[in-house]
Amino acid sequence: MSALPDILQKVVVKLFYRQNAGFFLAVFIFAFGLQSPPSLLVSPMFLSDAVGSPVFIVVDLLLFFLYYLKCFNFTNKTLNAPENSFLQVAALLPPQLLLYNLARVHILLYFPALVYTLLMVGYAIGQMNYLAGVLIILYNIILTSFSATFFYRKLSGTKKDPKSNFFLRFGFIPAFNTVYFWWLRYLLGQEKVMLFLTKLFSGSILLAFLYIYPYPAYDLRPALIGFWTAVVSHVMLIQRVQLFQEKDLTFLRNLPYNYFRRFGHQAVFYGFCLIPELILLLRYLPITTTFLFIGQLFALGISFMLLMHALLYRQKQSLRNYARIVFFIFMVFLLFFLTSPPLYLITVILSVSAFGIFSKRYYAFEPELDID
Amino acid sequence: MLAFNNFSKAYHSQVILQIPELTIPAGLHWIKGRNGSGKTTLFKVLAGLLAYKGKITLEPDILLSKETVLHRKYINYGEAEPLYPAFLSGMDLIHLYAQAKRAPKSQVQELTETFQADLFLNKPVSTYSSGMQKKLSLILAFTGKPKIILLDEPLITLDEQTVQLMYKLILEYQQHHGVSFLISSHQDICMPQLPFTATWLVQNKTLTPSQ
Repeated sequence: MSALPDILQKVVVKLFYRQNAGFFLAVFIFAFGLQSPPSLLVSPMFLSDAVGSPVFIVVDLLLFFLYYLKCFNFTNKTLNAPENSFLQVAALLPPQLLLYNLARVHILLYFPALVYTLLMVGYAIGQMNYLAGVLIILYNIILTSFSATFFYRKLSGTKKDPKSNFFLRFGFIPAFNTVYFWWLRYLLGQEKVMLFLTKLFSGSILLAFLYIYPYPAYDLRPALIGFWTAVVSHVMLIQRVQLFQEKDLTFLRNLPYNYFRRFGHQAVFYGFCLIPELILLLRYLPITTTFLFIGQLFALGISFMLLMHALLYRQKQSLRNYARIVFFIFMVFLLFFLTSPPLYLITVILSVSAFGIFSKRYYAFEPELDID
Repeated sequence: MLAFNNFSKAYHSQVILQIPELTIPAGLHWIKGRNGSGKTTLFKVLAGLLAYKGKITLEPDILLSKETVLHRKYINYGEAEPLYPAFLSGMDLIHLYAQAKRAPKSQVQELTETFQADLFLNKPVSTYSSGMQKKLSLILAFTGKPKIILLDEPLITLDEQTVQLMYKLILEYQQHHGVSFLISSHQDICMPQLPFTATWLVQNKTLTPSQ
């Protein structure tokens, strides 16, 4: 019996789901939390109508392709990691066994999308729309084959020089050499796909709210809810930033910075992160009448991200538990926002809570123990 | 210099080190121990990278768990196997350390010249050999005005010429700047050029003076 499936399971699959708990939470909220009824996207009525619409099928497959890019990028990055260079030995195994196992890895990562597309195939066949069914099946076969072949060739060949990555040389802009932007350089260099998908998702949500419920035809609450949802969708990015900080920047702990300064580094970075959303707000809301509101939203977004970052310093916390907390905070404030509360007060509460948790937990936190 | 009081360090409730009462005086100290004995854990605790229970006081009266900023100002650390983000350059890190530890410009220049590192420091860390990374970690460890420098396995991956330069620098910092050193290595490595004040053994989950 081959040990390869076990190793690939531990090295790639488990790590993928562990690191992407936040992403799945955001998708879950989007797919089931914002629909009425919550099960709309998987309801027989919706799917029956949807498979008859070429536009829906194309949009759906495009969305799943974005998810595929995420899975592909993750596998590629994991196989490139220096600690996984031992996997090159797998090239000595029979080709069909290696290809099978790499296809299996792809299927396990792509599983949520695969299930939905197969559901679509079932409804397409049920409606005798065989062309749609065959196209979706072909789509899945092509993605699986491409991944398996690509990674087979990667394991059989020699590694690329890491210098070929453009973003590794991103430091030519002086400001990006400062510690405030190391997180951004990390995301641009090593988490490009995740950053792109997060910003795409966040921007789309915010844009949808701003476009469908324009101000002043509607009040400012839809903009607030859209922005809140967009900010919450950054939760996976926050997880990655904290992981990078505690895995690759451990030496920062040996620098004589007080809590305010460490906290400030994060605030600057998260503020920078929310600039695209800020631009959307400035573009779609009349700045003369909503300037203060936009400013408060921006501060609210930063304070939420700081709180999410600080919560990751709770010792022995599983990511499942973390996802529950995020969902709870998201829902509670979502309902609260419907009552038009003073945003500055919520910002202060979130910021003070974040700083309190951070200053209490930071030095007690040991990343080695934070393993599920 | 360093006083331990009811100190203990555990991972997942498994005790790695326990030091009920111990004082390490100022000077040059050799911390010996076998693989897995807890030397690196001890160093990481002293560098402020890991949490612990009990008290460690940097004499006269700096309680490390309370004075988090002074702790990191006065104790510098050179890791055994340093790892830095691939996209940064050595200079990015040196600038950060120099700023944070308030090191004079001349010190940084002297250190880079001593370790003959000016040739590679502007390149990304991803292009460094393990010896270059080690040199970078040593430069960072000597940056600022520390009272104690912890050097974890400083001899590994360095060539003989660099080892001699490092010995010279250690003696200079100790004799002219009053810096104390805790230097770890396996038991079978000798450092005859360094006049150690004392030798300590990490074994049986504690730290004791070597006979």
